[in-house]
Amino acid sequence: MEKVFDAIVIGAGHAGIESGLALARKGHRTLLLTLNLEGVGFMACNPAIGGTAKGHLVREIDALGGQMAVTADRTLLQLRMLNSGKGPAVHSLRGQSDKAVYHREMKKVLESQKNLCLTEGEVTELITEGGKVKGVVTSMGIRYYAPAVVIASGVYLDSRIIIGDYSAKSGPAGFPYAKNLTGSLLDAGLEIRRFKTGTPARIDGRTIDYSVMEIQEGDTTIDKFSFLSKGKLLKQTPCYLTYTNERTHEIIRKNLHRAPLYNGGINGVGPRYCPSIEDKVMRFADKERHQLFVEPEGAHTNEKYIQGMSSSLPYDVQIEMYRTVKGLEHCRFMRFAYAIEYDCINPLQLLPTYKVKHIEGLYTAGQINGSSGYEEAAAQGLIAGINAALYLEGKEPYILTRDRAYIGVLTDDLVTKGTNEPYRMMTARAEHRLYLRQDNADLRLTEDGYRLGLASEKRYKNMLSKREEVNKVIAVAAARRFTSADSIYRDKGIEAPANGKSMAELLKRTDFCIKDFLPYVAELRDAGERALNTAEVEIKYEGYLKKAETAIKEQKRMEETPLSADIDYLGINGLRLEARQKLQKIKPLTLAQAARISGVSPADVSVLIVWLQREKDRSVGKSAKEIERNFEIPGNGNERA
Amino acid sequence: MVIAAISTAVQTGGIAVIRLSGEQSLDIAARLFTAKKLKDGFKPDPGYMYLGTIDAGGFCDKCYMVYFRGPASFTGEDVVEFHLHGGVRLAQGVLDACCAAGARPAERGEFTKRAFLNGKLALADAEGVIDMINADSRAALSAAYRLMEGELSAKVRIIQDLLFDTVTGLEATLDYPDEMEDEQLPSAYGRILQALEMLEPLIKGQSYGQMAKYGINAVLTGRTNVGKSSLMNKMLGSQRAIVTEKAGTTRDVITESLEHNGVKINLADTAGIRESADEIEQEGVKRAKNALSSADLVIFVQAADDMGDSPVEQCAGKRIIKVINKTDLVKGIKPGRKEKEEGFDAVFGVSALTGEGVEEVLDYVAGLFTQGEGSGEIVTNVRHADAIRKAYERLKEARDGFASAPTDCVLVDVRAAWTCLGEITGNTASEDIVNAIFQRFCVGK
Repeated sequence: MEKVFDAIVIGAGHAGIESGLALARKGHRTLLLTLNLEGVGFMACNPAIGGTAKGHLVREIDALGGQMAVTADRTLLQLRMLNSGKGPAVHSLRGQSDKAVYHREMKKVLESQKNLCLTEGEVTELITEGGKVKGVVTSMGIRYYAPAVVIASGVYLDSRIIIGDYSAKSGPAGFPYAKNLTGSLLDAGLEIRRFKTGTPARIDGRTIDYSVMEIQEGDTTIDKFSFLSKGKLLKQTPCYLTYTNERTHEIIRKNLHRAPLYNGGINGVGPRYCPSIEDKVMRFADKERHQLFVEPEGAHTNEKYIQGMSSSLPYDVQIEMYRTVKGLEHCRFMRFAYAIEYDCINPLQLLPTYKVKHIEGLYTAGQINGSSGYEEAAAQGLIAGINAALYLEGKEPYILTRDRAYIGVLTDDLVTKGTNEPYRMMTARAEHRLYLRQDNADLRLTEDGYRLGLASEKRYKNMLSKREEVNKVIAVAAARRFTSADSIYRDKGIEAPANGKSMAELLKRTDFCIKDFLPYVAELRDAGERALNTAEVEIKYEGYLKKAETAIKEQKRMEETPLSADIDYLGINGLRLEARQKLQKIKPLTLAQAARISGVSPADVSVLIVWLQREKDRSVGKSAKEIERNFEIPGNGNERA
Repeated sequence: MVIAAISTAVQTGGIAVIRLSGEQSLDIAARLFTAKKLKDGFKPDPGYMYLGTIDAGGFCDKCYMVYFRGPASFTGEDVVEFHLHGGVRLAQGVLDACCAAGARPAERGEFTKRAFLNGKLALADAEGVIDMINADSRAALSAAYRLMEGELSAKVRIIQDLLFDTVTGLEATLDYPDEMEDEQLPSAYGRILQALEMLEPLIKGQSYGQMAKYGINAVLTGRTNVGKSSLMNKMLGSQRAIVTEKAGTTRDVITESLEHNGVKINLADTAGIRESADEIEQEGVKRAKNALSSADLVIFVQAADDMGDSPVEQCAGKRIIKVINKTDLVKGIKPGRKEKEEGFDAVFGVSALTGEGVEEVLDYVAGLFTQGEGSGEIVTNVRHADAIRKAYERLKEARDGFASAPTDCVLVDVRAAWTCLGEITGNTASEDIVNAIFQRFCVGK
């Protein structure tokens, strides 16, 4: 039996899959270990991929040559573009996915991947030696060796599920949990924390009265997730919308003493953005009703996922309160809602490569890092896998910055700010969001993916021709003028401007979209639909995009000021104590990263700039006086503005 | 490194204070100062005055010493102060002795700088202290004092909070489209307008702030021989400008400052405006016109016995007052404030010869500043003025784009405005926005 590999990945969930594939595709013999082969790519919570900001992550993973989008596209039951009326930056793709098919398809991809050995086994121990990782030991005592290990343990580390006063050591949906790995992580110097999340009940679809709910159809005109996928999703399954009501809330209030979240039965820290229904009712007492979505778990099952109704109340309360909801009066439970507690680490112990700072060759990705969500996990898995491979190859690490990708925002937030609850990606977190769109993820990242050896030749060529088409459309739009004699005004039934306007000028108006020009501008018809979409955004929002670009440039200078790992922050006079400690712990790589650490104030950053300047001046032998002059308080100029 | 300075004005006064700041302040003090209460080791209690003797090498004197232990001190470092008898030479002698014992003379504003770097003062507060040091009129001083007290920060924070509410509301609708009903969008427009309205007095306050800090630039203009130079001399109370009977005596621009009612006024006397073949006079007229373009106030001077001319075009759009000089020559025109005339903010009669009416003109000029002072919204600092102006511009863009641009684009401007204001309040953490979304709105699956 083979026991020596180039790399070992622990866990075959959404993070582990991307790590394993990235390593194997980059030519490294990789062992992918999972607690249960039936749990590969399992969607433990809602049967959906994407959504606000998450859809962006999926496209970025795809642009880099990751797997998630490709597999999701093969399993779609419904596709929607969220926020389509609220601007190009926040257009977010969300797809309902068939859980069973997703698992089966992912397993197939892993099994057919060259260099990848998908194997069942529970890792109970990490082998480390002299600050380096050497391999792992399984519960059966098998020792596997590799110089690089990625831990992607998800919510399975010493996990416990809770339903009212019932609780049991278990992974999600009855899957086994990892019993002993936590101890080994503690021994390796990792800081262990306990987080909590939850999932709603699964209801037998045959007992739901859809006729009293609002139907929510998908959109058959939009592109799928992957830039490689062709065609539209023509046959779609609807979701349904219903609401809680005062009776539901009353039952919750009456039984609050039986809710483990409120009676002390749960100690883990739960996410505010994924509150249980009891949380919502208590925190927003003035809200008369809460939305619930009924989503299909798959095409070949009657299980329906009731989004918005996650809970850890006892089963009898669950039945009582679910049945107050319109359309769920006679519902039959197939699985009860539960809360789950699990161990995770503090991501402040990581570099932006997802390497554990103090252990060579050890990487962590996904929910173990305190995040939540399939997409957040996959994104981390991909970057961790890429960096583990680059480490094996002795190459420079690959780090995405905040101005280049949502993945960069996710990574920087985790390793710089840390998180005190399961971290969810949001568009509000991305300060350069207008530029980080899902329609241009390939233009932003596929070149990187290609250079890293993950994005295929085909993907790269697609991107190049799209880029060319976009540029051509932009050029044509600037050049082509529509005079008052042109029929476009008459056809659209609007008044022709006196001196005519260029296509670009017209497109900036709210009453024009790029498709309006197709009949009049022959060159546009050569461009693909995706290229047209991107070009439209670039033209329509040119002014705003310029602003975004300026903001990126302003940040660049701080982003490009490196901070050495040798700096002893505890000894820098002038820094406040809290800032000293935080900086010493996190050891930011750049000044910009330092400025983003919570507890580091603008004044602390000024001190740091001064200190850096002084160190630099000292090394080139400037006089004390010259050094002093370099740190005049900014803006204290006495010239009259 | 310990820094030392004479912290009181370098002139003869009742007492003089020498201040030391830095880790070794006490060591240096121990070398110079002896006190009965400190004879068992030099361990003074912080915040207590110790009477003792200071040995400045060449001489000794009785004085008080007080010690502030860092970080509970102005600079955040260990600070020692010697309270000496007044006298320039005494203070200088002790300062020299401190330097001989290992301190170095502080540069201007360096104590404040250290306070800022040690996190004792927010940037805005630190700037206030430095403005106070540099203030050269009472009005500037009071503006600086208000800055230090955080008055500007407090005002800006209110506007920032308003924008914060707008941003979080809109962000919540973007990140939770399924859950948030769109009631946030309509109220956002009103909030942007409200913030703009609140910023306006601050923008206006910038010119008052500039006037407070640097003085009001008042430029005298008018035809030749109307008595501009005589008027300037009377206002200054000295014979600064040359006065003759001859028209066109003043060639160059003559500037001089005075303080009136606590406000600094920078007066500029200029050549009388007339067509002239004289090359030097032509140049003088050109300079006069240049001076007008940078004026906060134009004082248009006419002679009571020869009225009928009007100000040159460079005065357009400026605050302008008309002063009718030589009231002593014409019966029926009295000195003092007159009825307002079209095209002028105010009209006065004066006699530069007797001085009648001059005081009222000065009161009016100084009052220009106090108009702003009254409302309390004064922005003296260039950096603050810049931040407020930028925020204002971005908000205007948000307002203008609101109807046509989608939410995410409008947010680019609103968020930028919020960040600009954060330059003053120090609050720019975007994490706060995310946190507020969860606190205020019931979102999440």
